Amino acid sequence: MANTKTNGVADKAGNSKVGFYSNLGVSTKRAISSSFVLALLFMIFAILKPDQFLSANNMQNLLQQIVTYTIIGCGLTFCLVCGGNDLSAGASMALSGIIVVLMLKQGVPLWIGILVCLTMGILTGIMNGFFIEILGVIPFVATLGTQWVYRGLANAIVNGAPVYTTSIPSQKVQDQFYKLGGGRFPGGLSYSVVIALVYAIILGVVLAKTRIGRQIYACGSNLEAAKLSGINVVRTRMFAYCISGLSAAICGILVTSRLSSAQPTAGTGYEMEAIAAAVLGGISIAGGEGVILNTVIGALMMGIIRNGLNLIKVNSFWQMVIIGLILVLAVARQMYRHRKNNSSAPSPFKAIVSRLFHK
Amino acid sequence: MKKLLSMMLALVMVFSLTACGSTNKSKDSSEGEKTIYVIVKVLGNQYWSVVQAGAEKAGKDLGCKVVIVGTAAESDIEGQVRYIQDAISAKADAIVVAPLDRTALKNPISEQFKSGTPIVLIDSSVEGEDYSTALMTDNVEAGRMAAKEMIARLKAKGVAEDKEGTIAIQAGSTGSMAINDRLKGFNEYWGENAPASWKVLNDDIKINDGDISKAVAFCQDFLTTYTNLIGVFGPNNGSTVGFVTGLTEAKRTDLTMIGFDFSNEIEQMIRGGEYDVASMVQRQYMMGYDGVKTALELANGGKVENKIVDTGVLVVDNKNVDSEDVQGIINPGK
Repeated sequence: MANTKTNGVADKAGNSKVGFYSNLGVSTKRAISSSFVLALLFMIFAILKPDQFLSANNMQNLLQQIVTYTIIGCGLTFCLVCGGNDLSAGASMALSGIIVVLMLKQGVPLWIGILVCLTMGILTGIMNGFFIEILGVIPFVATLGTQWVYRGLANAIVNGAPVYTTSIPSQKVQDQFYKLGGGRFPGGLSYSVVIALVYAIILGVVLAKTRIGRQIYACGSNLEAAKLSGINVVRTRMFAYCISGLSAAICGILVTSRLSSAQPTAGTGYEMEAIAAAVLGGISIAGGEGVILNTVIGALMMGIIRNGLNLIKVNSFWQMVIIGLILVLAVARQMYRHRKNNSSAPSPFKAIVSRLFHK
Repeated sequence: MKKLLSMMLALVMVFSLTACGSTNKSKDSSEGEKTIYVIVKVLGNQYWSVVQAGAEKAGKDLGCKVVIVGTAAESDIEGQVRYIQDAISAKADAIVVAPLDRTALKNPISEQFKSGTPIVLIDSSVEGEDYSTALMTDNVEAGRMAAKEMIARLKAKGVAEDKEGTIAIQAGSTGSMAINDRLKGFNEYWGENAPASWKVLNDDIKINDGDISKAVAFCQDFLTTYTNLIGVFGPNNGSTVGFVTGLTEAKRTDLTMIGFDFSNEIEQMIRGGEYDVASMVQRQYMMGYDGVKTALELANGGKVENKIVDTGVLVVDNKNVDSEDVQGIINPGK
């Protein structure tokens, strides 16, 4: 099967703008324009609720609230960039969480439990890749199916009941395990935020600066061309799905650790949140463009919107309406800029009007 | 065309498989062993796993076949309707069901009831009278008890009656009759008995869809938003666990908390003794056990006494957590 080790040490050919690498510019531009929106959102809430929104405690909460979406989103970014999709991430997260607690319950050392869980995550990625690449099922359908498979397995293993870390025999392992997701640095910043940040940086470097990263862009922008230029397409896309599975497993560990329990229902709908974050940050669902920075900015935007709306006392239902509208409008804005930058297209205003009134 | 054919074939295969499954089951019942279908709300959470355990135990004790099914989300009402129909197709002798929605499940349940299958409702009921019996917590009453407990605790702590204070609430879902009744009861009692300056934040009830991470986030944001918070109320298990984790992480021992059900998290908080906390514990094990027991009696041609059986709730706190009453509910069968 595919080699599950990251090929992070592949030749660093620097910024050679050869072939498929040149479309990075678009996503970086989008990341910059998204960060303006991010700054704007930040300003709005900072002005509306200065003492509450800007308090150190709230900033810490805000970061902690987006950890899972960021990590799953970064993994999903790999799938989106290579032209695929992964709807099984949330279910895979629940499964991994259960696996890790059950391992530790058997009394294995913490690091082995974590290793097994991460391997499990990568295996879910391999399974997705197998259906998509080997059997040729389209990513959307394949991962929709595996989503149910993983969710079903998560429920079946524990017969539908959550498992608690208090069942781990050694108190020391219990405490160590809790520290991963629930522990904090003296300054109040939690470990999980730092883990998410480091992980995002690593993935960002892998995607932007390594050979496998470039191959992923190649697959996403033009699969046929990538095949013809001698890229092993199956292996490359397999790698992307493994990264997504690995991200889900990391999330599973962090969430389980923080809540001291592995819930079979955990992570329901997180893949959609992650896709929304990626799109908000400027990643194209069509594949072939996007950097990890986009996703991180998108996740931050989602977090700020949610947290800010909570602070200005907007109830849950209106929050949904607002977030949905923001998502659609943000993408519309990106498309508008995209058309404006394409000199061959008619002027944006004309284009919009003609779309409205002509077939 | 070929694709269509292959899909058809696949479908036919699936159906034939399920058909095989059901013929086996009908064979069972002809051999004298009754089959009871138990349709819970969701598989995969603390509360329902206890109901499940009760139902399974009843199956073992009474010698009937118990099949337990449930949807993946509280919002999947259609899925539950499908399960009811499947249970009938599988020739269940009686059905125990926890209806997800009062109105939406009225007709499917009444249809089966009228066609002669005994239907025992647990946990929640449906509109109308078309069911054999319902074993459930009187949720309005439970909500009133929760409010009573909250007020008593706040007064005991010495929170001044003229002090502006707020109570934050988050719930699992919007359509759940049980949750709505608890909130109704809570607000009724609160309006009648609480000092006027203590307000329940009814305009800002957050909905967490049973996702505990979301519930923790809501708790954190409540703590940031409302500086005059004096208490929090979780009308269901997921919300309660979210509040527990949020309060514990923020170390807010100054707040009073009333929760529902008895998860591991709330147990630790109650036993820890640092927090002013109590939980409304339902007898869900009994619902599962007695649900199957009643269904079996009905399947064997028996009659039921009461249309609605209130299983009641117990207020569990640091003082009574180890008493026999409470232990009998929390660790049944031990």
